Amino acid sequence: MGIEVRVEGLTKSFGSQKIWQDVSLTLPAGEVSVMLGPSGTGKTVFLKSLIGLIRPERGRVMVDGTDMVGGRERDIYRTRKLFGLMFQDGALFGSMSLYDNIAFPLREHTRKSEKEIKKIVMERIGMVGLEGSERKLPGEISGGMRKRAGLARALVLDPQIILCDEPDSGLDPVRTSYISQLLIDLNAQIDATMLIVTHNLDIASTVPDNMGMLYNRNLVAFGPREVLLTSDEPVVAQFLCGSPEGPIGMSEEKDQETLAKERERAQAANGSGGGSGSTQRQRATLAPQLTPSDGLPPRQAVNRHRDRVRGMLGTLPDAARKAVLDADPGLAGAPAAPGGDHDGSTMVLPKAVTAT
Amino acid sequence: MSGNTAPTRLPNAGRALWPLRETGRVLTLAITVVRDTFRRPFQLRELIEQFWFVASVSILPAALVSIPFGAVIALQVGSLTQQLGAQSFTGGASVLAVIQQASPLIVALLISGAGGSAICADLGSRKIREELDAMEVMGISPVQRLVVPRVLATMGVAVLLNGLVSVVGTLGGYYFNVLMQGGTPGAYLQSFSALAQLPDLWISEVKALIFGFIAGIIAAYRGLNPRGGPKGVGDAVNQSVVITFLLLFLVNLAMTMIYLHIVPPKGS
Repeated sequence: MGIEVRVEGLTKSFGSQKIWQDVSLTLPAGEVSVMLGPSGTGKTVFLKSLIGLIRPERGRVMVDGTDMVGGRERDIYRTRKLFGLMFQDGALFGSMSLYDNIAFPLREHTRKSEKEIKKIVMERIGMVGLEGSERKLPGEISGGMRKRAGLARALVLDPQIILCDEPDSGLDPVRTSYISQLLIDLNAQIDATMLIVTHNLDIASTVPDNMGMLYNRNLVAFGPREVLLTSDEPVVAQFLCGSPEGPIGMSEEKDQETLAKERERAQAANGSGGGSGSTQRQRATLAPQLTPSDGLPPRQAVNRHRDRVRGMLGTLPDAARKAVLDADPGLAGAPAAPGGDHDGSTMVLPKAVTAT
Repeated sequence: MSGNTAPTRLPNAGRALWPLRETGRVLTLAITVVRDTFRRPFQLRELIEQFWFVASVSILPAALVSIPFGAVIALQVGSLTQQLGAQSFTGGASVLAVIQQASPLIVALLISGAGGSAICADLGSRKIREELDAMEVMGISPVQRLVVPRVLATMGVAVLLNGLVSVVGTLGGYYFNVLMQGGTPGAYLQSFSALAQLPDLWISEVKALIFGFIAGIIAAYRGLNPRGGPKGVGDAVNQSVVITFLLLFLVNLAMTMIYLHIVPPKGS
């Protein structure tokens, strides 16, 4: 079973520019979580902070008793072996073939014979569907294949925690769906804690158990996926619609004046009965979550997640509670008392973000 | 308001302290490299590959540079000693100049220019392709896995190449002195053994070792910290060579002064 990752009060800035501040959340053991956020909100920086590649100024990231921010170098290197990180671009070693790339962690960290290594590597290559390409160099294959090879390399040491940095970027919608299914299948097979950083709404609405969103230097929300997917908070709603109308601007948050104009336009459009005003955009809705492919064991995380949600049902916003109960009426009879077996820090309810 | 003044003051202070901070980081890397050299597992394969690479790019230019360099020193010293009427000492003087000064410097400049620039570019492009991050994520220290073998390779090649350059330079000096300036072989060799002593060779090798270390560390440091994407790698290579050159001449000055102070010249 995966390991819980507890983030407490994390703050990071580059020079005088604050990336995000006071981020606290807990990635529940073995569950799949997604971190959303517009481009440039420090999602990748957050991911790299979890694994100790980037050192935030304040806060702690507790993994298996080690603080990945302020801990001793030796402990951090040891704890990193529990992680598998899938880089945005694969980050394969350019001078090695795919096979050697994927075998690299095994050769460095284990005393396995080449025969055993070959067995493991070929199994992982099969898992990500790269059979036949193992002798190619990273420069000779497409971006999507590099990503999958990067994932295979991240999986080779049987990680307890898997972090994926934008698994969809540069992939077509079909391949993105395959990656989504692959991630869910992986979770079913090895029951690892997973965090996917993305701004792809398809992945966000179908893959995770939990969802969070970074925006404007803050963690806007984190909790069971229903909480975000049903939220009316303008930032969250705008992002899930992929609409230009709302507080998120092209580069940063919009100023008050632009927002006011936008509201006037929207009202005018409503007054004239819609017409040529704003196009209505489809909001990412509460699609059913993906299930593992046929022949794979059920995800153990589903039951744990269900128990956790049962415990926090009373604290959920109404819309989220309704969505949870619609999808799983069996939870209705559960005691709605808050503070069952969950601690409050696992959830951050959607909140308005004011410019700081 | 106080919240506003702090961020504006800090960058200025940061800029003033920038040279100190860079020096500190280079020293930290140097110490880490020394420490990680003794940490298991030792990367023998990488060391051999790098050794071969650095040697292959620097042997030929080093040999080619050292012949005219030895000749120039021999000619210059030869004509000067002729004017002074001490022509019989030409051999000793030019050999000492070649072995103690020219040879380690030629070696270091070539290793830094040919090997160091390649090391810097290699590490820099790995850094921006996130290969080094990927390594750290796997719990493998890039310093131990990549930098240590490279620094050891530059040091080793520097020491061995220093021997080659000393021999080639001395032979070049001998050739030009005896055949072009009409010096006698006997006087050349005799003044050589009258003025030169074994510590001269030791200091030459020690210099080469230290220069190789500096070239390796600077190349690795600039390669590990490229600024601003792919263009930053080009800048880093450029800077690594320039910084290495500057440092080498300063360190050479210091080491020569110390050597002349603690080792008395032969015959005095």
